[in-house]
This record gives sequence, structure tokens and C-alpha cells, in this order.
Amino acid sequence: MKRFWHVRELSTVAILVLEILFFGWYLWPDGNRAHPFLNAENALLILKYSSIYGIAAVGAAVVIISGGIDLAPGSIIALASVVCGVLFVDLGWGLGPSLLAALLVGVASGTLSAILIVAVKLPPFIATLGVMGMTRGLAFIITEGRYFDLSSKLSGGWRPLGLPADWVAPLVMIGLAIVFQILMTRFQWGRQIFAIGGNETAALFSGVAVGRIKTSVYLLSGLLAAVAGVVLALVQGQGKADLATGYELDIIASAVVGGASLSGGRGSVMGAVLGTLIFGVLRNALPQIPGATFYDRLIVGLAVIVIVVMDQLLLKRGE
Amino acid sequence: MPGLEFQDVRKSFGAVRALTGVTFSVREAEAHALVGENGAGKSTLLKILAGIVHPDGGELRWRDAPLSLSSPRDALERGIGMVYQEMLSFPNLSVTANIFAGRELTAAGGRLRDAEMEARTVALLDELHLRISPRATAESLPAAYRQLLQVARALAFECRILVLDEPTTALTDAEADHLFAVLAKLKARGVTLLYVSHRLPEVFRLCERITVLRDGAHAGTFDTSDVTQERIVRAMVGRDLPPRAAHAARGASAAPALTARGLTRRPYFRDVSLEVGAGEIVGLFGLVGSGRSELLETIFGLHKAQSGTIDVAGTRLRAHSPRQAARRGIALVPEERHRQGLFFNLTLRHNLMMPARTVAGDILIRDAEERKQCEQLMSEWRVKAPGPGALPDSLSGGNQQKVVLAKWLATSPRILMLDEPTKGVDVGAKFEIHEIIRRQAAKGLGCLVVSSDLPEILALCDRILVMREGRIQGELSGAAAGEESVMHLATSPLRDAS
Amino acid sequence: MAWVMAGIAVASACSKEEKPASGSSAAQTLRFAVIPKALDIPVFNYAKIGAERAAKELGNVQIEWRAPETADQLRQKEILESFITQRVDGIAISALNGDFLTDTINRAIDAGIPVVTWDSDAPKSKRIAFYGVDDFASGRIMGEQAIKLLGGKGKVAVITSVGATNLQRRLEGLRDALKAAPGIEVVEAYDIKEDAVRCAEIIATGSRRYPDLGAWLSVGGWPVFTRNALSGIDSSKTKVISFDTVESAIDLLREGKVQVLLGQKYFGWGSEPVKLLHGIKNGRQPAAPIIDSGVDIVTLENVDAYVAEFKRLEQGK
Repeated sequence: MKRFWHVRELSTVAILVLEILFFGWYLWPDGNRAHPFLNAENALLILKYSSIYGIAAVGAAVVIISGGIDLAPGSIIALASVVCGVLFVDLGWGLGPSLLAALLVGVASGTLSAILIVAVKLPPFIATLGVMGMTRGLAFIITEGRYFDLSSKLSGGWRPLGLPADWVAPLVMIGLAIVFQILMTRFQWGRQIFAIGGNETAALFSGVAVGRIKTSVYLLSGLLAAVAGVVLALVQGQGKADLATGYELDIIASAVVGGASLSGGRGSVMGAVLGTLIFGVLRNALPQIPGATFYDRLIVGLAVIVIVVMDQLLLKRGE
Repeated sequence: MPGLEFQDVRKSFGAVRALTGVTFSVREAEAHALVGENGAGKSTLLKILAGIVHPDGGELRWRDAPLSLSSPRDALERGIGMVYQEMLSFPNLSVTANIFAGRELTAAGGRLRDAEMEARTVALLDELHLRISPRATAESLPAAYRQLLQVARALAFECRILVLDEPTTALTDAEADHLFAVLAKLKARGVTLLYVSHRLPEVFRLCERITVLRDGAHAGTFDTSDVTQERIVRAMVGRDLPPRAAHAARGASAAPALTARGLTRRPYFRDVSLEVGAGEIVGLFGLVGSGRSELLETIFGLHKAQSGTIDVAGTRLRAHSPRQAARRGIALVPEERHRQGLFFNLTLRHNLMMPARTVAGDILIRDAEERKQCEQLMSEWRVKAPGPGALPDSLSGGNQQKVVLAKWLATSPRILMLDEPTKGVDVGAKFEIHEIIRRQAAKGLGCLVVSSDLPEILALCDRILVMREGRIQGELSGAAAGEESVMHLATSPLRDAS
Repeated sequence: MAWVMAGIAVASACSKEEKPASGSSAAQTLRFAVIPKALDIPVFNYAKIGAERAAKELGNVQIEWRAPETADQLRQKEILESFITQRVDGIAISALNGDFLTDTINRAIDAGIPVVTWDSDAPKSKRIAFYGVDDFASGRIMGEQAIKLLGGKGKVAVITSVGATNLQRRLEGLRDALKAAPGIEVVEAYDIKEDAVRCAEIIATGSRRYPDLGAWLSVGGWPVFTRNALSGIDSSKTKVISFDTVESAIDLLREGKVQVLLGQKYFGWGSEPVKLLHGIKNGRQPAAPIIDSGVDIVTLENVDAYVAEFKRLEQGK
């Protein structure tokens, strides 16, 4: 965390570049057809789908650096999309108030996690496991198995701030990544999070308001998951209770691939977002290889192990 | 007759040469001490003997045969038992399970032979005169017993060489006596003891010979009978130490920096009242468990007092938390620097700046300014480190302690509370830390020092408060106090039985 | 359209026939457990409406509608077992995994509780009857529609989700039918893991990989759950045939993004099993163990009539 770009982030970038080069080579078209993988449109596609994970991964990285874990993001994404949907589609609220309400639901979920962890002193795994179940359950109660079709109300030409809708999610992700990278490396708040993750007792003995900082961390994670949910609802045009099932593990995996240590005190926001891009490229490129679709679970699982082991080897070499 | 021999043992970690060719031998069935400042290479040597670290060159021999140890288990199987400074126990497991951890006696199919293990545990505990249940969990035992548990574990496997690394750090004198009695019995049975300690009186009491390491090299082996403590210290440090500073006669200053009245937190301490004047060094002495650390932690806001008041420079402290305390000028250098003092994932700069910037309520990190301030702090307090970008791991214990001290001095506190400020620190660093405390006091800082090291208290403090079983038992002025008068207060029955 | 009409005719005929029977045992209310695959699959709401309508028509039937929140086999088995211990009067279930539930269904039958399956069968069990589409046959229908739409030649990509037996059967039927047109090449079968977002991503990626694709064939409704999944498709070049006739699917059909939809008898899923159970309780065994519901084939030509009929059924008529 000394510099804005850390060595481990550079290794994540290196993995991403290698991955892109590999698929660029593997998918090289015959003759002079356009390249199906290496083109601007496809890059936007990868960014668009990765951003759902990426936005939540910003929060997950901060939680993991603080020495905690958050299992709720997947469910909060679904709940936020549902809340946004029910208000906007069913109850006829304006788009702005609906989005705001969805974000508030995320903040509330994060606050609940924070209370359970900081005040009730539950282990983060247990507390967020509970919140995960509650938020998912709430989403089902609201939808009663239906889903909300936002796309029918957001006409095709929906252009927030004059931008094409597809650009919204990647821009939000990149913006949040930069903002939080700066907050984590250049601000006392971020340094205190690293300190708590490294040694919570020493942080307490150093006068850090540990409870307050941890509260802010889980609250943020909830908020960012809700942002991901809202973006999902807008870009994919649906609010649905079973969306993003199991995404929490993909999000945690991205943060880990991006250099975060599950024992806390190590990691980076930028790395986590790059981690989601590594998986995003896999999700994009594998379907372009005939027959590979049935292997992608296996390949993604393998990739997590290989990348983390590679990272550890690089780190040892560095020492 | 040669027992355990170290022949030209070398080991480097990266660019750091921890051992530069150490040769000495330990006779069979003798008690042999290994001393040296932190960073002299003792721990590396012990790790080699425990099979954790493999030497780059040279060899170990036992009874004239090469001894190569591939793993901790290997070492244990060859009869080398280790008793570590840190309590390596499984707090959630029973005494029996701790003793047999990893080498459980099993019947066919892996079923545990519980009854047999328990019977052997009872026999071992008896041998060590430990009156504890074999079924008690390790966490329910006092520190000293946990230490003895490690001895029991070594004995359970018929060890021929028992290595003890600072075993008395957490023990009271009575407990240490108990340990020494056990060790003497073991020696009589033919067990070879390798004893590592900072406490020279102990070493002289227990051991026949002393080997001194300095900067990774062998600095001499001495017979205890014809050497003085001063000679050993000189061999350790490589120079003569200045004599202890005489007490500066300081009168009680006008406004006390810290006043506590009727502070109570059961069951740790009750009705404690004390005053620390500006520029005064007050010692707080007492045996382990007398409530000293808990008192400091409560003043620092880590725990809530059940009753009583705390005033800093005449102003009442309310809404108490470590952050509040730090803001009001109270600093605490805690007892366990590994667990409570340092962030091992962060560089020295961030370690040094954390309390000061938190107290200042900063939002942004100002790199250039912080770096300058750190370099200043490190040179002022003589922290030996490559620079502000180094990680705490790369520092010796004494330098780590100086970092913890410096990070609090950077907050410009009014009150500096120190809990065992020189625990596990080598002799050179100890004198430096004492010097820092004196210099700060001279500038008007009020200091409250907790220590189990009686000579330290006597050398450092203007006034000594003696605690016993959670109460202030008496007060002595530093000039008048002697070891006997302090110990008398610390161990005599409570003055009133309320 | 003929399918729809036929289906409705059968349904109404049944209900007329059964009215007197229900009257005779009105003394005691029958509790029937109806278990869909999961609560979060929208089309099962129609099945619920159907089941409740049938219950109302029969008069003395009470419906217990319960299911796992998401498609979770173990949870569904747990729910089934709890109904056996509750000694309900009959169970109608859409099995997430027929083989997994076989023993439990047999236990219910042995305990004297009649069990019928619907939508998704447990063929190896002792269940009395299955009402639903023959998946293999409906897969074939999809294949035949594709051949017709593409004029017998072109590249197609298939969307499925690995793990569900009925989707696997549809896929087999589809491949079987496509054998008849050697000019049609199946370039890829994508596994979208029951994730509608993933489906949208696959369609976007696959369209890039195969720019000359003639059609997307989806054996589940994921592409039509929202409009956006298909927004990148050039309808003049690439056609879409999908299962499911949810509301957004109808809109997509009218817009020309989708050419053919295959609709299940959603309301029948609920009403027919309830009527079967009621009949069994009154001593009438079903004529055959497998009752093929058929599928509705919805195209631009018959969409208005289909919607009108759908609305009528939705209001419980």
C-alpha cells in the first residue's frame, strides 16, 4: 500500500495480459475475417458483464483487507434489483427514487452485518451468512416468484447522462475502483483498515476506533453490492430474486486472485477489480471455443488455484 | 566426553548472516546456558536444533555421530525436546491432549488409547509436582503451568536433550523456583539441558557453563564458577555499559499529569488511587496477576472501570475509549509488542504514524511529511532499520520495542504508561530504552512503568507503588527503596482484609 | 392455436364431468399438496392459479402450495417428506430430479397417499400418473419449427442448462428432429447454468463468434425473460425460437425479436393434477399413466388469440 500501484497488482495485470494474449492467439480467425475476441466491441462486452462482479468486488476487497469476510453481496445484488424493480415497475416510482431506495436497502443490509459483527461480536462469516439468507429471503418475499421487467419501461434509447446504456456499468466500476484505490492508499481511513486487518488488537492499542471503521467497511460492502444490483437491474433490464446466486464466492475469488489475503491486512481494490476482469475474459472467451462451455466451471476453479499459487511463488521470489 | 557439538554452523537469510560459523560443544548431562543479545543468532541456532531451519554449512554431532534433523518431528524422535518462550499449546485441548499432541498413542484403526495417555499424564504431572487435572483445558491453566506443560511434553517422549528458550519470562519467582527444581532433577537423571535466557542470575544459578553468541558468532564459553556477570555482559555487548544513572532528585511538580481516584474493576483491581506528576517516573511493581496490566489498560480506555475517576492534567476523562485516551494525551506501550504493538503487514512508517495521525484526526496521508518525521524519530530513538519502508519483521526485539515506544512519543503525550518495557529485550537496548524514558521525563512527561524486573524499577523510578491482589499495597520513594523492602510489600498479606 | 383450443376443450370437459363426483364427497375437505420445482420460476404462478381454480371448481379441495425458494433438490425432497408425515390426501409434484425422488414418492404411495407428477416426471417411481409435455416430443417440435423457419439450411446454436432431466430430453428431441435436415448445422450447445444474466452474456458472445448464425434455439425460457438479452441480435439474419410464453416473451415476439415460442400448459400443470388426484380419491384411476399435455406453438399469426385465452385463464376462468 506504499504506492498507488503495488507489485501484486502488477502481477495481476500481467496475468490478465497473458490471458488476453493467449485467447487472442487461440481465437485468431482464418483468412481476413474480423477477430472475434480482440475488438473494441468485445472489450466493452467483457467490461459490461464483469462490472456486476467488479463493483461488488471493490467492497469485498475492503472487507477482506480489514480481516473480515462478506457472504452477502450476491443476495444484496438480487434484493437491490428486486427493490428497484418493484418500485419502478410495479409501484410506478420515478427511476431516481427507485434507485435511491435500492441503495438504501443495501446500506441497511450492510449496517445489519456491521451491528452483528461489531456490537453482537459474531464472527463475520456467521453474521454475513445470516444476512445473506435474510436478504435473499426478503427478495423472494417481495417478488413471490415473479420478476420485474425494467426493460419494458426503460425504452431502448435510454441514455443516462447522454451515454449509451452499455457504458454505464463499466464506467461505474472503473470510477469506483479508482476512488477506492485512492481512499485505501492515500487516506487515513484506508490505512486504518489495513492496520485492523493486520493486527486488530494492535489497532485498538494504537487508538484506532476499530468498531467505527469496521462498521464503515461492512456498510460500504452492502452499499456497493446494492450499486451492483442496481446496475444489473438497469443494464440487464430485470429485477429478480434468484439473480446472482453464488456470486459472493466469485467475488471473493476475484479479490483473492487480485492479491487479497483472507487472513487480512493484504490486498487491493484495483487488484480485485482486475481479478473480476480475469474471470470476465474467461467467461467471454471460453464460449467462443467449441465445446468449452461444459468445461468452464472446471477451468475457472483451476484458474483460481493456479493464479493464487503463481502469486505466492512470485511473492516468495520477490523476497 | 563430547555430548552435543556444533561445528562451524552457518546460516544466512537472504543478505542477513544469522550464524557465521559457530563452534562449541555441550557436555552430556550438563546444564549449559546460551546467552546473547537479540539478533545474536540464538533463535536461529535453536531452530536448527529443533529441525525447523536447516543450516547452510557445518554440522551438528551427538555422541561423536553426525546429527541431521530434517523436521521438528525428527528432532523430537531423536530425543531433543523444546520448551519455547511463547506458549505453544492448544488452548482448547486438555492437558493430556496437549502433551500427546501429534504423537497420540493409538490402538489398531487409529482409536485413541485415552486411558493409557491419561495415566502417563498423571505420572508426569506427579513427577513435576503439578497439581492439575489431566482433563483441564490448557487455557484454564496459569501461564507458568502452561510452560511446565511443555516440559512435561518433552519428558513424555524420553528426551535426552531439553532445550529451554526463555522459560521464565512469564513466571513469578516462586514458579521459577519450581521449574529450577524440576530441571535440577532432570539433570541428575542424565538429561542434557541447553538453557537460553536474558536473566543472568538464573543462568548462574542453574548452569555449569555459559556460551555467549554475538552477531552470529561464538564469543566465548565460560565456566560459571570462575566468571562474573559483568564479564558475560561485556562478552554479549562487546563493550562496557555505562553505570546506572543516579536518581535525579525531583520534587513533586505542581499539577499531577494523571490522577486516578478509587478506580475499581473487579476481579482485577479495586479502589486504586494514584497520581503521576509531570516529569515524574512512577513504578508499579507487583507479581504477575496482581492486576497491574489491567489497571494500565483500564486507564487507557480498553476496559470500562466499574467505579472511580480519571483526571488528565486536572480535567476529568469521560466517554472513555483508547482513541479518547490518546487524544487526551495518554499513551500505552503494551506488554506484548507482537500481539498488541505492531502491524506486521505494514512498513515502519505506517506503524510509527498510526497513533499520531489517528489522534490528529487526519484524513489524508501526507507521504513526504511522514517520511521526514519517521526518519527523525528513527534517528532520535536509534531504531536500527534499513529505513521507514522496512517491515517490522526485519527488526530485532529491542528495535521493535523502540518502534512501539517511538510511535507513542510521536503523539506528544502527557502521560506515558509502559507495561514491561524491556521484556525480551537485550541488555544494550534495555539501557537505551531506560535512557529514552529518563529523557522524556526530564522534558516533563509523566511516566507510569509496570515491570516485574525489580532492578529495573529500582533503577528507573522516582516513586514505587506496590500492587498486590488488585490493590495498592504501599508506596516507596525511589531513593529509599531496596529490593527487600519492595518484595516485602509485594508478598506480605494485605493490610486490611476488606 | 389448435393446441390451445383442444387443451381448453379437454379441460372444460373434465371439469363438467367431475362436478357431480365432487359433490358426493363434500362432507370432508381433501388436502392436496402441490409442489412446483421452485418458487422463483415465474411460470409456476400460472400453475398455482390453475390449481386453485380447479380446487374451487371441485369445491371440497384445499391446495397446499409449497416449494423450495430456488431449484434445490434436497429442499424439495424435504418438503415432499414433510407432506408424507402430514398425511395429506394427495401429492402433485414437479420433480427437480425424478430419480432422486423415486424412493420418497414410493414411500408416499406405500403410505396410501396418491402421487401424480406434472411438468417433470419421476418415471421410475410408483407415481400413478404424469401430466405434462413429453419433453422429447416437444424438443422435436422445436426442431421441426426450426427447419421450417430456416428453410432447411443454416447454422444454429442451442442454449440449455446442464443438469435438468427434462431439458436434456428436449435437447435430445431437438437434435433428433434436426437430423431430418442435413443442411442445418448445430455449431454449439451452450450451458448457461440456469442464470439469465449468463444467458445474455452467452448470446452476446456467441453472436460475435458466429456472425452468420441462422437461429438461436433455447430449450428454456432464459433468453425471453427480458428484452435485453436479445437486443444485440440482427433479426433479419438470426431467428430465435424459445420455450416459455411469459409476458416479456410475447412482447419480443410482437417486436420480431423472436419468431416462435413454445408454451407449456402452465394452467393445466396446476389444474389437471388436482383433478387427477380428486378422481383417484373418488375411485377413478386415470386412463393412462402418461397424459401428454402437448405444447402451444405461438407465432406472430396466432399471438393475439393466445394472449386473449391466456388472460381468461389467468383470471381463474
